[in-house]
Amino acid sequence: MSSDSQYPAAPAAAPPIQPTLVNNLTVMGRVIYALMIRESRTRYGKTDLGYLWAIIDPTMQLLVFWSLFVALGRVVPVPASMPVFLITGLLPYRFWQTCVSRGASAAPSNLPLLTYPQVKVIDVVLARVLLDIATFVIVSLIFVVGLRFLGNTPFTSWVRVPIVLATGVLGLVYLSVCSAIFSSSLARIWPIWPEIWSYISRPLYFTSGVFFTLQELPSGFRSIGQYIPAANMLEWIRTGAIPGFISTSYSAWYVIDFATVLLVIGMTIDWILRLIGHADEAH
Amino acid sequence: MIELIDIEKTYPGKHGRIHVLRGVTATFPRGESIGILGQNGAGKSTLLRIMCGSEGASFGTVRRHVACSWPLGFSGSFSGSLTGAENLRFVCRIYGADIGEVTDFVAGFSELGPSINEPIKTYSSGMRSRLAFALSMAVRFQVYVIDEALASGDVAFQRKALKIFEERRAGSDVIMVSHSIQMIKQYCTRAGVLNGGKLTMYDTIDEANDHYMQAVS
Repeated sequence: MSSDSQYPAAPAAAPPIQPTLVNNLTVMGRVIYALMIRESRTRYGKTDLGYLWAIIDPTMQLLVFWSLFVALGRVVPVPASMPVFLITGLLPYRFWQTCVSRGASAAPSNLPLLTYPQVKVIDVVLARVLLDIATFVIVSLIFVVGLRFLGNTPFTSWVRVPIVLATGVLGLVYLSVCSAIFSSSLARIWPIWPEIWSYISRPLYFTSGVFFTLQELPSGFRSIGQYIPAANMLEWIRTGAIPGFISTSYSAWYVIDFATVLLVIGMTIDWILRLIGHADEAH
Repeated sequence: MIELIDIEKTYPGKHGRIHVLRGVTATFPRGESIGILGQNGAGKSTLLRIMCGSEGASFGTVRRHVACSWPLGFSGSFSGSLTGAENLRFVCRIYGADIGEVTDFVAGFSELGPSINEPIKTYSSGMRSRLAFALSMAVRFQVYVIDEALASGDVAFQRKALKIFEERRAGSDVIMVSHSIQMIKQYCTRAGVLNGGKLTMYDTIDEANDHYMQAVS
């Protein structure tokens, strides 16, 4: 490099070239962090409402279903108040559903970023899901705190057995990460999947136990509902969260097994696509 | 060193798969700058993207033992709703580069001034490409990869771009694809011709050019 240059030398060092496990993980962490910041700016920075929308949207849904239930004279099927029952269903379900949608559009909507060799589709999926986990946690806390002061709902009405609630939330996160990875891979080999998902997620909303518990269903319906992973998931979380509600109608292992199968299929497809140099296409 | 071993590349087309590369094997050692000649649609850009890792091969092996740039001046990753500074911070983060230094350098070299804090969708195409070029020059690579053009923009900026690129080239190699023999003669020590999905390397650029001319006519 000439010493009389009028321009500064390239300020940044070259990337590591030794593909060791530590290097790979460092780069992956860096990439996911960068994607999360970028995604949060493009996702929430678009409108003036920004982050506020993440709390307004579920609040409106809560209010709509709350008034609907009151108008229809629906009795809460658990020993909890209406908002506690609805929120313990609405927020986890919406979180899972969002993760599947984010996974489905991860590759096509971030295609140009894949030009940087260190950015992989899986990084995009994980960055998006991590952002949704953060949003889910923050929105949940806002509801819990908000209802404490506005609705006079004590904090104790959200926790029955802490360990069951904690494992339930971890189970939900695991299910959502695995579903997002599966959804991403499926969309890459079957481009119509995002549209199909938007159609099936609507009826799923009403069959996943957001508005009822498996426990209260007649045994015929219950045995069908027990095959719906999201319904098991919500029952698990509510069993941990709602004082006085103990359901024996869900299986935590069913959720875990189902998620693991999705993960294995999703990662296998991703691995094969990487092996054959699959060129993703934008929508 | 970059090694390509039996590289095949196919894309799905409307009527069956399109075979772009049919068994490309080549070695690009450190210290040599390589130019690849080929007609439009010969698969030059695809080959380049496979070399620098932007894309995978359908079959075959790529071994890369150098820090290789993205295609110079690449601006496709820019998000229009983010500012110039936010977009360049993303690249800094994925390369582990110092955000402050890179921002200072890019803001100065691209002559964007305060516009660097405006969303990219408000930029003219010239501003966009100046940002992209300056960013490519902000990270030190062992191999710089060029797809046809070094830099776009007005004459003054192009002159400036050529000058800084000369400096960057001092310790680095170049791999470029082009259909212009002048560009390749200026930057490369060896050349090859990509034709019919196969790459043939020649010892001299003139030899490569002769074969390229034969293939074209």
